[in-house]
Amino acid sequence: MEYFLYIFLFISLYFQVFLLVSYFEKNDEIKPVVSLDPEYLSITIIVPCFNEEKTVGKTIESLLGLQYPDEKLIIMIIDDGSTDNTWSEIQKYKDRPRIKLFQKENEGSKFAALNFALPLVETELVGVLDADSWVEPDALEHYMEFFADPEVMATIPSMVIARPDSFLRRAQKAEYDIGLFARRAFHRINAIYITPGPFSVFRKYVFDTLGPYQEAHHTEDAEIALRMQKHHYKIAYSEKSVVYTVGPKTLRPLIKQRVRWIYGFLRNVYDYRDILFKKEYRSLAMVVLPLGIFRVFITVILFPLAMWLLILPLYKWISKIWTVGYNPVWSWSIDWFFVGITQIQLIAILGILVSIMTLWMGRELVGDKRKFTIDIFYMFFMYTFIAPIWLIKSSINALLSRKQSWR
Amino acid sequence: MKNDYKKYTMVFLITLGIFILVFVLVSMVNDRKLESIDDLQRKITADLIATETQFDLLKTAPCGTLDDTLLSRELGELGEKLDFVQDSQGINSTEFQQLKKYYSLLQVKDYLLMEELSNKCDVEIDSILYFYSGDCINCQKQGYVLTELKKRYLDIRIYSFDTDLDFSVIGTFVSLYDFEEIYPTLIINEKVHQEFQTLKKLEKMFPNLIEEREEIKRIEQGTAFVLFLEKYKDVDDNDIEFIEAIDSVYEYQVVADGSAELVFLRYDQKEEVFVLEKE
Repeated sequence: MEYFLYIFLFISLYFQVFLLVSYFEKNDEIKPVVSLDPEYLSITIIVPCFNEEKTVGKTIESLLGLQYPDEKLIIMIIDDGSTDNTWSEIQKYKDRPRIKLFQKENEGSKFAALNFALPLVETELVGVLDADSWVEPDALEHYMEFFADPEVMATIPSMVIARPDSFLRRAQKAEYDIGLFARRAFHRINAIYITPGPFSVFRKYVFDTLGPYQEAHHTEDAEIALRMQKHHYKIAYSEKSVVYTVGPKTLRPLIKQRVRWIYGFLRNVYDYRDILFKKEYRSLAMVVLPLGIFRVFITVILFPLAMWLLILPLYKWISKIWTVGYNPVWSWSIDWFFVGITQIQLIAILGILVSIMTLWMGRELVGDKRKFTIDIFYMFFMYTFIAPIWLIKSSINALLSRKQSWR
Repeated sequence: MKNDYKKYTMVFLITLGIFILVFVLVSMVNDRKLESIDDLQRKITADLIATETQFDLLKTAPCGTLDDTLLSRELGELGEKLDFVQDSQGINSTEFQQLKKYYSLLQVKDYLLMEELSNKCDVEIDSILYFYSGDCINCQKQGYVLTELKKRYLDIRIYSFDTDLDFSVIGTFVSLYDFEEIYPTLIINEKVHQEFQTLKKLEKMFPNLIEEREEIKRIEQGTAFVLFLEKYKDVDDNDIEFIEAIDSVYEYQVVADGSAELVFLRYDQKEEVFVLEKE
């Protein structure tokens, strides 16, 4: 059993080293073009909302605050059959010239709201922004550095958790910051496999040629990215474009969200399994997707073992205190003989150090000055004790192809 | 595309390199630990042979060496180190097995030597023979108890034998006392106990040890009492020396202002306090 653990650690470390090497690689295919007089492409930004009365106002305000020529920007707000005050909330903006409001019946999944809007789009670019996210004023401007290349078909932003105010949100903040590092590494090797709801922008050409969004196991944002990859459409990552989003505050919705993500990832990769290990798709097909799947399943298998290794010494310590009482001998002279470390512990420590390093690199990308914060520990806690729950749940669901409900 | 494979191989080699480095590093540290155990074992062997030789030379027991509990302490340390290496570092190589067998052998030798010394010098030696095995449920707990006992009473000699070791000497020992293979098994004063013994039960089996510890505490209490006296308020710990105790009268020698004085204290059993007898 221990050998499995070594194999898992080896593969995890391999993946980390792989990302680190990729991070510093040059991307010959996608290069940003910084110009003083960029060409502003016309764009429609779709904001689907379902019961988001509290955040939608801020989302719209941030879009109105974008540094972008007025005549080139259209904002489409789609009320996806909200049952709260979302519709009356967005009425405040009905007279703004750049904003169009729509209301439709809810059909149970976000992709329907997006597809409702797509035929109405007449601009060169189509953007998506979830109603619980908001953008920095210069986010869209920076995208033009990438869209200057006619072959770039989509661009995704730097996602940052806004105002973390709970244990889980802080943990997610650190997690997303590592995500920035990973995103840049994927970008460098053209292996971005998700175009997330918060502010992904596509050329309309993508939908004209590949068709609209699909249901895709409630992860339409992963499906469209894989579909684009399959057709060799280039996806870029604009690290200077920052978008803020809120993560689930409490355990239940967080687990639900993650189960949906991982289930969707597994199912979508299964649906696109014909690209796996195909040479033409390079690192995406050879390393990123296979290891992504492998890591989900191996965690599920090895979590009980890891727990056992953690709990066993604790159990011994408690049973010792139980039998002879707690009476430690305090002494300043340490006998170094009794200070030891095992291979697994040392490798695990290395892995943690690399994680912290990549987190710092991610923060560097968005200019976050506070590098060493308490949320790092929260993240490790979340990944040790909570993540296995959603990993196990989503793997079981994926294996049994059980349907997920959206939200 | 070719570059891709180059990269995968390079990343693989880096990862492999890190792994090899970790394994080499840890095994180096562990080798050092085994070496230091080996050194300790050599030292104990030399000491044991020295005592035995002394024995042979004098044809009688060198009773003075009995006070020297250093050997047993070193044996205890050796046992602790072997346990640590096995439990925490997960080492169980043939080299380690060899060290452990040798340790068992040393313990048996020490035990026999002590038996002989105690017979000839007419001194009682408190010892426990402890047999355990890896798959026994209560052995871990029994181990904790014995470690704690040893910590409290340095003079007690605990000999522990891992019956999982394929070692004839331990087998002989087992057949000598003729007990069933149920563990933990403790042999105290020739009596075989085949169940878990709590700390309290064990302490009761060695009443003189408890008495001794009480006595040491009482002597310390007496020293504190002397220090507390108005007359000796400028005197510190090092200037007071315990001489002897006859019945309940404790005699101390105090060095104050350059001259030595004797102080006699009486211990009141009922009130558990000292009173000044005479100066």
